[in-house]
Amino acid sequence: MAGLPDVALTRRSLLRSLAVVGGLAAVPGLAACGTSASPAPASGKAEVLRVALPSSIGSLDASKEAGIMNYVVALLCQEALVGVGQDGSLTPALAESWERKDPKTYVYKVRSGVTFADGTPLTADDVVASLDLHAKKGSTSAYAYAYANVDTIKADGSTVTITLKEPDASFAWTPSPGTLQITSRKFVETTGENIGTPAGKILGTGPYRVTEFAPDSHVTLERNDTWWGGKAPYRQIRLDFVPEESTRLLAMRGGSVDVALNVPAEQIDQWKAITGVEVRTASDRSLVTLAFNTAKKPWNDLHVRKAVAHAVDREGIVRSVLRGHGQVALTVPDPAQWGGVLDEAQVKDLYGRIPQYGFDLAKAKEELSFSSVPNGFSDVLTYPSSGPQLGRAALTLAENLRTIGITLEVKEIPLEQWIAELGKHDSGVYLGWYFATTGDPSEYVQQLLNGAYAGENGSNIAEYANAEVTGLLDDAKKSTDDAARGKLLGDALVRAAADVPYQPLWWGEAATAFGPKVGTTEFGPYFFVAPWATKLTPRS
Amino acid sequence: MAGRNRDTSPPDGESQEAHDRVQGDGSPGDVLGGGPGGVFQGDASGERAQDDGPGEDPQGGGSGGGARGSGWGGFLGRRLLGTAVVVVLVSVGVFCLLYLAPGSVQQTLLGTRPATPETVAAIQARYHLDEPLPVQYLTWLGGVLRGDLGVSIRTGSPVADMIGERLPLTLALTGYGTLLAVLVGVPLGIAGAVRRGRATDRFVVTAGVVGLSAPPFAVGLLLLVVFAAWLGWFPVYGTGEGLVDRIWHLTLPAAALAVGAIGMLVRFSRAALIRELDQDYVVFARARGLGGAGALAYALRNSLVPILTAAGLVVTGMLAGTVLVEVTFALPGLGSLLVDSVTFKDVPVVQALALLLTLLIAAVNLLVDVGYSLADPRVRLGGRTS
Repeated sequence: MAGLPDVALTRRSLLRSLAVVGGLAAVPGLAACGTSASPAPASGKAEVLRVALPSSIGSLDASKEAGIMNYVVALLCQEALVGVGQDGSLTPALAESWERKDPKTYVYKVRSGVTFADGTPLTADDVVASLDLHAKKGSTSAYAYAYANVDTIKADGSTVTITLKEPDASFAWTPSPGTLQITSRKFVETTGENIGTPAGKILGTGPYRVTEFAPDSHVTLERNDTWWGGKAPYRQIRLDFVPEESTRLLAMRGGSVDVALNVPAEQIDQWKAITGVEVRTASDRSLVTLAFNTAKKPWNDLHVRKAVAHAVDREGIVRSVLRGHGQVALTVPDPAQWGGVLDEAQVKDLYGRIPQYGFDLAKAKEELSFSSVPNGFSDVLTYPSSGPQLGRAALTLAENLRTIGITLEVKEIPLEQWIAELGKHDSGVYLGWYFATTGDPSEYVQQLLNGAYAGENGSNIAEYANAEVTGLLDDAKKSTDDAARGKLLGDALVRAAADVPYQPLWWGEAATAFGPKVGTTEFGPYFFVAPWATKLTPRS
Repeated sequence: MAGRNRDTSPPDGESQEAHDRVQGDGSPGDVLGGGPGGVFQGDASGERAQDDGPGEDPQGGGSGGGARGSGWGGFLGRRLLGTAVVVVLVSVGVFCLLYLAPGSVQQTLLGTRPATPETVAAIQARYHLDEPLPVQYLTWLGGVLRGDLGVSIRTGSPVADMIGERLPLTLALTGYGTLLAVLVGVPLGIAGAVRRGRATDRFVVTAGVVGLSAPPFAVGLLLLVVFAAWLGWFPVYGTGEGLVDRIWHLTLPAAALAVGAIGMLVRFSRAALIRELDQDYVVFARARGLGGAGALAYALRNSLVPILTAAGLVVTGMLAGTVLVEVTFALPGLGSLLVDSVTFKDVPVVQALALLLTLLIAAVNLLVDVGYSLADPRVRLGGRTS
């Protein structure tokens, strides 16, 4: 009897609880109304450029963490002695001019009238201090390898003289933005270990300076009005780290981003469908290659390497895995990397002479039957988790190899583990994935093919040690004549291809999306190897 | 009349009730045994009672008067000791696991570039990687005991600064998410219990199951598409500046976190309340002529202990589970820091985070236990049960 009012009451309490829920939903709604009255915070003001980067950076100092995105941020604020032109050749930057006095001596004339973002003038001594960060004994810089051959660095008035221990023509590229950012001696001494951290930041002579760095969130840059190169178009640049690709897409659709880097190949059509958005693609000077460990059974057998090379459908991979956003790699360096060494026709001629192992399962089977393992074998191929396209390519290869009796287990591993395994040289087959730091064609040719870099922790992951190839490459290092150097490098590539230590798969492309308010006239493989934001123009 | 009474005891109640019992008794009970309740249950087992004499317990706070005071002091003391032991075990475990994990710091630092032996040696010396493992651990431990959490290998920043910058965001996100979950989940659970077996109840239970099974990152993307891209009510990503803007920016991420928690709270609160509503004292209260609301209030208070347990689990689960949501909404919280640091083998940061998370979870459990004693006078921390 006492239970009589139950229903009514419970209904009321239910309504009450629903009201709580309803009220809750209403609060954010109200908040949204309040804020949406003001214009979208993102690109409302034309003088602020909003950029979405696909991954965060841990340090502003690119010599501490040399990822692609570290350069994208750092090169807006810091410059090198020499720059890279759109054709991939070296251009004057903080050095007005330079010359190679002899095969071991480089002399740079430091530009006058340049000031750092803190107002202090640039001197030759600052250049020496910046070079010493990587060249001095016991340096932990990621650039140290590029300076291992440096003997002395001296400043004299406004010139800086670098002497090498051994002749090396590639050293001309070392003081370019890939392996040098100039900062001031005072900054190095006062900031010390804190360079690149949110507290220490970085100092340079570039068109922008860092005002705020919040890892995993954003970097804010303000224009440096005293930049020697003129006045940059945007007063402020805000670079947000947005790792989730769908979130980046939604942000561009909502107009809260002006430029987005690394648009994934499978999303390009969705990005293009947004009104006013322009997606530009260009070679990112990356190489994905299969590497066969020539010191390990059964990969030490040339027939096995040829069989596997014939089983790779490179055209199919570029078409289906990369959706056409890449190029079948005929050899190690991307054609865009021969700037200043070989012209376009010479590159074409060279690439025509390099032996290719096209997709042909019948030939693959035949080669395997000549080998020490005619009935096949099994092995493991790993790829880094940050490169799912590498994994998909590896799976198509594994599928093809199964038909000729080779079992290839494809495994995804964390990037850090993949890097460590590349260094150990104890697997039989690898997927190598390289981004060129310089525009020098010899960079990865030397690192991958020169016998001097074989052995644990060496960059020659195929353990390829052919005396003839190594000789050609050593001569190329010593050569001071670009034409002769180009010929030596070309000969080495042709000669090495006969031994199939690597089967290059593709040269990568990166897609960058420009929102309705931003445009650029020049865009190419070297766009981001420069103070790139100064090349943007507001559009309406 | 009888029919109406079935509101709290439907005809088909037997099987469902049995099901509810299993849930109600099982899940929270297990949690009590293994988690937050474990310590105070031990306290109640008489050993404490001997110390209850006035003034005998040095930890009694000098009041001389309090069985309650000494109970609290002893309880806190043992709780701190237990937490310290857990922290040491966690730090040794994490250290060893990171050491065994594939990859090496110097190679990650240098990437796929060539490394000269001199550079490798310089990096190893700088981060003490060339020393034996126990020495590395003791070096780290010595620093922590002096209040120095060390410097991150990956970024070069002091670890304390890195965590200090990120902790407020993670706490805000967890707090906001828990608030949303409690404000939605508990009323829904109550509604389900009160309307047991009806359409409302079935809706609530189904919604709870759906919420529990939805992965937070998928919910996050769905919320983004609907509320940020389509309706345009909320920003797509970022943290915002100032309090109002911050709340506005954190609403979608908090909601994405809350969805799973709501499912859990619905199930716990519904099961607990149903059990209480079937107790004799509720029937008696009604027989005395107490209104439905009054009876419900009695039952609610008595079902608070399992609900508090669930809330504690929700908070700790959110602390650990913010990482996916942080990635979706590009938020710089502790979760993304932990992931970056673990794959990098950035030992000082991972150790500090493990330490912090252990302490936070211990603190939440402590709060839940204190909550028990406030919610239910029968529970005395470190004292007797009456």
